[in-house]
Amino acid sequence: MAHPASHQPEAPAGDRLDATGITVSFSGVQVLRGVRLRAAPGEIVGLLGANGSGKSTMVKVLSGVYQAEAGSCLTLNGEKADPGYGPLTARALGVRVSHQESPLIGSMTVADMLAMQAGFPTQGGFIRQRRLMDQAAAILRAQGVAVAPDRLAGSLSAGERAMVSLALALRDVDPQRAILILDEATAALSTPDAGRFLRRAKAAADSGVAVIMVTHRLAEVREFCSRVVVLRDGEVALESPAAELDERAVLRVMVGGADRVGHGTVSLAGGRAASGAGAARLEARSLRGAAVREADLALAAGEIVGVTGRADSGASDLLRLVAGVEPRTGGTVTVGGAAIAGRGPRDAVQRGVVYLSPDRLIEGGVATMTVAENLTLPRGERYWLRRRAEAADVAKVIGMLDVRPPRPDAMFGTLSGGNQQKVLLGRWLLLDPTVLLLDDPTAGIDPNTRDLLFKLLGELAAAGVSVLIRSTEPEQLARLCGRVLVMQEGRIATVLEGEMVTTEEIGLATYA
Amino acid sequence: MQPTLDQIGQPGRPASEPGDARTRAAAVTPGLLRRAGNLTIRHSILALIIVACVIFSVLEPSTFPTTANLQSVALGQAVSALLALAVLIPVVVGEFDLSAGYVLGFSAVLAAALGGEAGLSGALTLIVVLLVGAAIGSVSGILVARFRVNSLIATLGMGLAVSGLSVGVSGGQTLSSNIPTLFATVARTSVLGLQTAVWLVIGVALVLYLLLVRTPLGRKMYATGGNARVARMVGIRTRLLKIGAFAAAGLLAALAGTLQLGMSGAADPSFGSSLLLPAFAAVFLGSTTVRPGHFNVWGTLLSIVLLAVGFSGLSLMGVPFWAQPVFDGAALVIGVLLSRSETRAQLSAA
Repeated sequence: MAHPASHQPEAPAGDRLDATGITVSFSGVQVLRGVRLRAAPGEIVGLLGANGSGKSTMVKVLSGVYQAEAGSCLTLNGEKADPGYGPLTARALGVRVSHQESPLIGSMTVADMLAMQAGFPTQGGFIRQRRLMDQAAAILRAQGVAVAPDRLAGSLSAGERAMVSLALALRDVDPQRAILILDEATAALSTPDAGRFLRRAKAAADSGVAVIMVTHRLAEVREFCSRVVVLRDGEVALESPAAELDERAVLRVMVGGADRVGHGTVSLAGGRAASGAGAARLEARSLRGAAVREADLALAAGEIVGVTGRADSGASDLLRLVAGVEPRTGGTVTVGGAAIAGRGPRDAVQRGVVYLSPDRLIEGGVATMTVAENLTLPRGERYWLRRRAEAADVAKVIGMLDVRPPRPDAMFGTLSGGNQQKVLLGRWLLLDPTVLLLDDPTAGIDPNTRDLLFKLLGELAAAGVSVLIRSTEPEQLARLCGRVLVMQEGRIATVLEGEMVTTEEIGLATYA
Repeated sequence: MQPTLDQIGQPGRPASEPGDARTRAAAVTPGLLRRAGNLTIRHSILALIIVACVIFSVLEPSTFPTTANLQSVALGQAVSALLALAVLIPVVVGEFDLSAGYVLGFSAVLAAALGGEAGLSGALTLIVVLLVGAAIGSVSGILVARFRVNSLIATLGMGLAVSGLSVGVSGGQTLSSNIPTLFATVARTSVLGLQTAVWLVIGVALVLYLLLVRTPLGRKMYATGGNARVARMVGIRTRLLKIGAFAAAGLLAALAGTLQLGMSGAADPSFGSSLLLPAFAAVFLGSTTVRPGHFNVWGTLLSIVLLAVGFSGLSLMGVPFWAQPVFDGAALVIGVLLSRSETRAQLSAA
């Protein structure tokens, strides 16, 4: 990442933001490696990258949440940030962030939310309600937001929330000093809402604000950005003017440099995906839920199928609907021909359909109970008055999955993430499941445990267990799965099979 | 878990040192408290009871260590202990039942009214009262589990309503006429030197202990209290368990009410609510011992005994009667603090 000094005078007016050599490590692992990112006044820079590429870390460095390591250099408005650069200094230097989730309190009015920052107009210590509304209306008008100040924040649509949060961010900053970071601010918005939001951001840019826009939507980048920076593995993998953007080339850069392009056909899922060999073990038809519009799914015995998609695609929700963890609003799920009622997880568990949540402490195990107690929780009756059988099964799982420490009486909450995951998987294996639904099972897990898990999945599949696995890492799915479903906006948008199951194709289908 | 042993050894100690007793106890046996605490990691409260008994026997040799005093302490705590076991059950599944004290009072009044004025037989009265208690608990449980009303709010409302019913049924009077003799028999027959009320508490405690610790049902209840979402996800019927827990609490509170009626021979419509906080105090204090970090039967009972012995000794030494709620209140706060630090210590042990 050598940047010759001669590059610097490129922007004679002076960049609003110039970050060079930004390096960040977490527990010895470098997540950002000498990243350079600059933004001129009035410019909108698109910051792209797959999950885990370092985009979020970069945003947090800019907003002062994370401190970059020695050698990193951050210059804002011509001022070099000192080592004590934190959220407050970032704010003082003109950095404003608008997040996907706007931090609004639902039970308060928009005017109150604005006044939390702008201050309440008071007289003798009491709030002057009329003045408060006028003040809020003035701010909203100045920021071009068509929302009445007396609306409750909780009653706003996603688009309105985003606009209000943008108004909050830009309210008190001089456009000639401001650096606005849009951190996937449009991810939860419909296309028209996103357009409205970005046009407002563009107007801010036109008045002199430098904008850095983190997004997964390439169409937005083409329409609004002047330049894009693509991160991969913590490094700048590509920097180019947005006008010259080749969508497929950008995606290829995002998901990994391999030139290898899969052969065969990408079947756009119009009908149901052809299942592998053998009859379907698990079948879901017209499955609908809060985040899944409609999905059909068929899993054969012994098949490992992957599901992926961007954060808002409904991939995780698909698994949760099948498992009964989220209520389904329509459709049927059958296992071996028999329907699962779908009143709750119990119906699925009793049919051998088990779900492993990525949130191990909230939806996984009981932190205050022991490993043994957690292992035998689903079917305690089986072990009633059979303590020896219970101890034997617990010891078997601990040994087979190499749980550490290998102590049945260790508190679940004290185990490392990887060992918690082993216990939770072991808990389901004791039930002899027919279908395993694994939701991002490697999140926060060390590589050794991951390899053990993958090896185990292979053995389970060989023994006839059907596996549906969601992952955010295309290479994992490419390694494990014979078929990968890529979801977009609540539907299975693409089905990759056979030779098409490659890291690159999965990435392309995910971020297209 | 080694690093936590010392921490676990400490919890009971401050609870035994209220007011005057602190200076005297520390002066008389400076090292004994600490050594007892270290030796009996899981039995700190039992150790404290023994220590308290020794201290009070030394200080008040003529009144404290007598059969009469110990019997009166045991009998005096039977109703409180039963109520503590009642509120323990919802606490295990992660909910609070604030109505239990009022249900106790209402049950005594209802039994006196049905058996006395209405002239029902003793056995029938007992069955009806227990069923009514269970029904009241079920309603609370359904409000909490099915309609997702916060349990503090649901049972507070239920308790207030029931307290009104107590006054309605009794007409605001203390009922004492024609109480069926069955109640006195159940409560006050002497067996092996202890009255049946005490045996009843021990029996209920034993059943509850076996249920909570030795059966899958109990394991599921603890899982529900530990993390209801996880419990639901592994197929446990958490709603049903919660409703059942409230029903059982109502039933035991009603049993405690009939016991109170049998012991005193009269039903005061305002009785019961004052027993609620001491009952919770015992539950939380009990979670620091026997099975530290878990709400448990024997810890709860031992806490009742500790509070009773402690206060009995103090009152023999001339502490006025109003000091008992102060003593219990301090125990509740300390109990909650300790049970939190217990759980934290266990979670941070790795």
